Amino acid sequence: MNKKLEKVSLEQIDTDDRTYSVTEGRDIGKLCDSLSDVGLLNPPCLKYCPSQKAYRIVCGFQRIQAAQHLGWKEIPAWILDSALDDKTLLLCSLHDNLAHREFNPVEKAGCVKKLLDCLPRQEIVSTWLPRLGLPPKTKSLDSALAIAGLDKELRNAILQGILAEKSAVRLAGMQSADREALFSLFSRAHFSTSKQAEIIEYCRDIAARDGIDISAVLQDKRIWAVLDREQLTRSQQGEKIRQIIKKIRYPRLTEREKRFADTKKRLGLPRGIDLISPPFFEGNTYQMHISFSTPRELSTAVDRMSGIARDSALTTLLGEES
Amino acid sequence: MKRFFPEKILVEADVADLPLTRQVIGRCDGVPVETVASSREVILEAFHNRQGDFDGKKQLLLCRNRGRFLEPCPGTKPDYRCCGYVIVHTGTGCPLRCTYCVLQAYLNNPFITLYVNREDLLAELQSSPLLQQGAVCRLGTGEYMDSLALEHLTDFVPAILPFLHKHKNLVLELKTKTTEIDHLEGADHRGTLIVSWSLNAEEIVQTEELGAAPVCDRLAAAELLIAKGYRVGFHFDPLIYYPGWAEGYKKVIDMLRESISPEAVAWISIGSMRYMPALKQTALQQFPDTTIYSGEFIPGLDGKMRYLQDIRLEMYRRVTGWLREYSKDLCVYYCMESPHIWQTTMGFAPESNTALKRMLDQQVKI
Repeated sequence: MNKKLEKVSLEQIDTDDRTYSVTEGRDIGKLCDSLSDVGLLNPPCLKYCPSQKAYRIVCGFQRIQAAQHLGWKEIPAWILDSALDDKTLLLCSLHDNLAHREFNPVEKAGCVKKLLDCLPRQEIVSTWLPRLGLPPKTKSLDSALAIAGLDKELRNAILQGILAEKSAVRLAGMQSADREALFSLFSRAHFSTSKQAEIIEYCRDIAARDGIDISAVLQDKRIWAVLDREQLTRSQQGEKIRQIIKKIRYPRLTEREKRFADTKKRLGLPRGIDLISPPFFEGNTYQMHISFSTPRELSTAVDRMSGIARDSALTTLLGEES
Repeated sequence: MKRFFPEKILVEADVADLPLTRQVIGRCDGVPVETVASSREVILEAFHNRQGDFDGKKQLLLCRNRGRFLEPCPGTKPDYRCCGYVIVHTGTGCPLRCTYCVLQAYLNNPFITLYVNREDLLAELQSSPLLQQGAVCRLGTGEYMDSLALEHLTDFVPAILPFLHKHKNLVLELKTKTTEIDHLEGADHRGTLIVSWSLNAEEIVQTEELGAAPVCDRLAAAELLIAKGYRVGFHFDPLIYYPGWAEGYKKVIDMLRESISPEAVAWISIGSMRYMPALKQTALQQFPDTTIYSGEFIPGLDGKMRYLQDIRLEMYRRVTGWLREYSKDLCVYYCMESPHIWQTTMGFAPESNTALKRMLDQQVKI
């Protein structure tokens, strides 16, 4: 590859042009320190665009940004052969970065989107996804494209850990009002990655079942009441909201769980004895757990269990099954 | 309903000269044919690299089945009763587009696929230990595809009838949602074929069984075959819980009662919607407007998602009640339900899968 080292005025560099940029959401603080302490060790690569009478950055966006931040007027740079095509230059940028750092999820998504302009899908799937640390599957490519298509606020939310990548992919396919409603919820209350997925799925199902939008599901007054309770931590708010949405999604299961809890209360189970329902009330086999540490405790528990077996509350519970 | 013809036929080079390949191509006049070196590669390519306009249901792949043609129905989990029929694997996929079809998550093959090495199928039928026990054996081709949707291309029934005639313990159940019965009307079936229709509420047929025949047409087809001496079966599977479900299913059972004599019915099965967890996402990508996955599904004892037991009991009580009004003598069974559900709604439960198999075998009159 033909290239020559020159000193270039920073004013001549088009820093708004992101054609070959694979960097997003990076802090240049450490790079500024490095440039201040030891100077520029590795010059960026530029391509001259005669039509714009300016240099386009191929590699070294952060270095140039840091130099600007430090008030440099000019910077040593490799000027690449202007005949090189966009594909070659994008690959230069990718290899330059891949060789020495991990990409964040938003950067990976951006790379995939840019690669799609110059390479066939299958080549990206089989060659580039593994290089980016993604599984070589079409689904990964589609997910990356979904993230790349999100607006900046949501991309930043991914980088800040507010929005899980999987959630972002789901949100990307939604109408803007639904996306904004869910994003607003995730920004205010804390949900783990799996809980975000659960909330999204519950809301989608409720909306489909009731013929309403997801944003309408999230207008439920109970949800807002939880968000207004400032004494709760964000995690506590998240858990309470999850329970509310689950109740809307599974009204009969929730009712069943409540009846079972009421029955246990009526039975007045002593410490050391617990009644366990079948998972999700599937089947009719209940279990009773006894905890004891002495023969006397066991004997007492067994006596108590005989009484529970005759209790009308238990008969009613088992009768519900038929 | 419109008879299926593919827009394109892909032929694995290895099977290009087999009789069934030539027959299928011959019956798809004017349809472009492309020879491919390996069905596996073309399936993988389509699966991983399909573009927006790709539709595997418009393409027919003719290839060799390199595995077994016969397999016991996989519903063998001990918690739920299975009727123990034997699947005859003639191909995978069908032209219908059912939003609940388990094959969407089951197969990585987007094409409608026919296994054309029929001589291997017939050889396996001759030697399979599954069929050598002397007891009645119910075979079925409806597990991985609609049994009749491609019959006009394949002539499977006339090909297998001589074998069935020689083995008096065998009966073949052809499960369908179509009215493709032309080839059956004149067939010398001698009671070895039971043609069965999947039935559902008309609202569900219209929104979730895209491309399938309306219920009234299915029943009319059943009537025609009964007149030709066939016994028929019906499968209320999957029952779907939706607003108005009771009226919807009652109406279908009323239609059944009005058109089909219960004496001609070998069996009726009932099963509620159930699916592997992975199906939901796949199905919603294919059919974003379907609402059937928003029911109250819970993980069952076999890992499949099922309606909450209370909901299943509610539906089963009503549906079995209406079927009993139709005829008390019907052989009604549940597909993959627990003994508890049987006992609660039917008043008895088969002790084992073997007992359920025996119950159905007794309905076979060869």
